[in-house]
Amino acid sequence: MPKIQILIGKDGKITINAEGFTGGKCLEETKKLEEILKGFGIELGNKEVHLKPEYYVREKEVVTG
Amino acid sequence: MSHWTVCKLSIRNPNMELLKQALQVLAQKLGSEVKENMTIVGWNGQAQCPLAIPLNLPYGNGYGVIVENGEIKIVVDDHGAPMSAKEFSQELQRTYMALAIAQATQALGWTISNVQELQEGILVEVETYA
Repeated sequence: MPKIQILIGKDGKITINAEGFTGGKCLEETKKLEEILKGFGIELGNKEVHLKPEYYVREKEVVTG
Repeated sequence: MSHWTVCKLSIRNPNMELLKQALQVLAQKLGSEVKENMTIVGWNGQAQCPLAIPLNLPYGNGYGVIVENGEIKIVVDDHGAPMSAKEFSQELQRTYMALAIAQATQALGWTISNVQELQEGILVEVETYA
């Protein structure tokens, strides 16, 4: 099952690990989380995003008809 | 793992109800409770605080929280206090963030599978069903 791990560091750094996603879905999901956190006044600045090999895996295309 | 992100946390214009909940967590750790509209006094003066944690400190009567121009400010005479103003502020921000994640998770229909206090901070694990 896809998981997101968030470490709220003592040094004020936030590390977000998205696991078990394929393709760009991981970024979409963490974006949703960030949007809600913004509503609580939380800004995640100086963001560094590191894409893992799974990010480049395309989901299977489904042919219907 | 599909991606990982590292960023810096900052809070502006906090949700006051959530801030109060975060303070309640800290108050419990300090063996006290949250009080509204309290005058925090110290060696060098006093300040009226909408939220506070009363404590018998060597030179003060507790920790106070003020939100000024959207920023969270801590009022305390921290000489000999269990936490310095900086430590208190960082702990408050971490707790606020953890509570905000809990609320966001609920709003998204996700599930928190694990929350742990580690040496390096608070770890929150979420199952997304994506």
